[in-house]
Amino acid sequence: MDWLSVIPPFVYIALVAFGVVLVTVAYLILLERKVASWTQDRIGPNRVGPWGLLQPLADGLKMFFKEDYRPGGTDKVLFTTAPAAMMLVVIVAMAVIPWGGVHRVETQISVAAGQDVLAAAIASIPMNADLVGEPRVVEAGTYGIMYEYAFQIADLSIGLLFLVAVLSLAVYGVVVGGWASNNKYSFIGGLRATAQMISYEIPLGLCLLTIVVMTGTLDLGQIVEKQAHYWGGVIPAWNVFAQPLAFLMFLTCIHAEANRSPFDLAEAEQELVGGYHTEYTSMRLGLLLLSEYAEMIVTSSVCVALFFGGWHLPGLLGPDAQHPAVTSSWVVVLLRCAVYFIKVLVVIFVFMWVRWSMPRFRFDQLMMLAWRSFIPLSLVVLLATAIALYFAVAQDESFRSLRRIDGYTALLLFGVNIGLLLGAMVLSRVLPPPPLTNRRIGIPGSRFSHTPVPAAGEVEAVVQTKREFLVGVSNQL
Amino acid sequence: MLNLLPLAQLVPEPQTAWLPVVLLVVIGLLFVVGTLVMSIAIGPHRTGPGKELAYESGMVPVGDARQRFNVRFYLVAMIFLVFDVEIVFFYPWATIYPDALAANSPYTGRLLAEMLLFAGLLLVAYLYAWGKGVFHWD
Repeated sequence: MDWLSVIPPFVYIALVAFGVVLVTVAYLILLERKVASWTQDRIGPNRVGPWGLLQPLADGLKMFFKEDYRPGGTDKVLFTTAPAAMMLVVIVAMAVIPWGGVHRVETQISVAAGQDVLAAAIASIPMNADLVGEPRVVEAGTYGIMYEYAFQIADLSIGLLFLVAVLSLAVYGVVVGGWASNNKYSFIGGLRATAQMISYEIPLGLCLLTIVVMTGTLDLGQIVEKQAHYWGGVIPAWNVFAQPLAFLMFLTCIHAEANRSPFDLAEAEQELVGGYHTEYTSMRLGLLLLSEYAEMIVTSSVCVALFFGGWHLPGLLGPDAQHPAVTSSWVVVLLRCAVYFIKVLVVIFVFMWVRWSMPRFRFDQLMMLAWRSFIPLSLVVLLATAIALYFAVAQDESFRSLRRIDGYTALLLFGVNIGLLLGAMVLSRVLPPPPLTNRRIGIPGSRFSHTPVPAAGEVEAVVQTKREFLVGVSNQL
Repeated sequence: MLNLLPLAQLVPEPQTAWLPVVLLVVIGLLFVVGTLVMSIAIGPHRTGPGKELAYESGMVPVGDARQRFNVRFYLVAMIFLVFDVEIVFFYPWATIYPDALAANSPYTGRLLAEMLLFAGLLLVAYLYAWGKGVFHWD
């Protein structure tokens, strides 16, 4: 059993997290169908296993047994690279999700006489863990040491930036897949998805920055830790209460980034069959679909970490009020992981709820939402947050010592958010409307123009009027 | 100016901090290659003249799919580059600014004013693009 202790904890965390995410992705597809059936008042899949619980297994097996087919005229290398790249990108992006705070371990080491104690202590702790405090003497030759490590796969100080950088690579999968297919539907779908994903990346980045400017760190674990306290003793200090407008814009942007309804123009089945994955079959299609759901998990996790306090629930705080993320209890760490996961599932449920409740946007509406409203609004929210902090920081003791805002600052930021939302709503009424993009032609006798029902003898005359009108319209066009 | 700010003490990351990411890349590659190879090995392989065609709802495809497309997509790409680079400049500022605020540094006001000026310049570019009709779709 000695070799087991050599393996650093991040290996176990990586393997378990990868397995959990894969199984969850499979079951999310079932959940999606169950939510759809619930929304549409039907039963949903219930034949494979009890309550359809074996459906993901059957779907997965079916994917493997389908023909892995590549039509002529496709680009041989890129056609396979695109789904592989998309899945790989999402798996790598999982690295910085802060599942369980910081775990502190106390242990004892024996040091031979004459050896450097500190060096021996550093050599004995696992990789990427930090030694805490000085080794203390228990008895002759035996020292007690403490070390702690972040309970996440990779504890990067630039976590958020890493995540944005890696997730934005997913756009390559879409555009390369659409181009390599040599299919007009795929091509148009890939173009649309590219334009949409890069457009919504800008407000997404600005919404992330509103949180960064409140905490001063890009480390997701620390961002969660700074939300792990209470305002006024009762309200959890989650950023969603201080920045509701930024949260709403962030939620919309991750919907658009994941190409999900109401932003699923890239795969609008009424126009484009399947969009960029029209020509894909078998496990290549499987990887594209899996990566879509896995990306949902990752973006929802980021949403939970930034706005919903990550693992934070009452009773899960560590003993140290300054660093509530640090705990030495395994139970607390595992409970935190469970809490985090449940919060992620709630956000994913919102994704599905929205998908089955909202109609799809038109492409011009989609682009206008990003460029004409979200980008200026999120920029203004960011700058307003910075200005509000500038004036609020003087009486905010906890911000100056711990970089976490107190209740009054949060109330101020909430007010700023609501004020900006109201201002934007008023401004959108006052500003001149954009030029109309769709022409409406009133057709006499159609159900939109309320012409009276003609009497029996006048039908001929009405038909004549209609014919003249249509001839006139076609001459105009 | 920056070195006058009492920044939080920078702790260098251990050199092994990126090893977990490498591990995930390896896991991901194994998973992706494994599934692709398995589906090729298990699935059937049949082909025919109709099957080689691209799917166009039952019509015989005319011409190549990789044709010229709307120039607006290029415009989106260019404007995206402009704005995304601007946002990259925000990241270092957003990490320094709270530290300066918390330390009550005399440079805080200047730091804020500089960023407001920068955002103002960004606004000029934005209004220019708006006036040119870049954000108008039909």
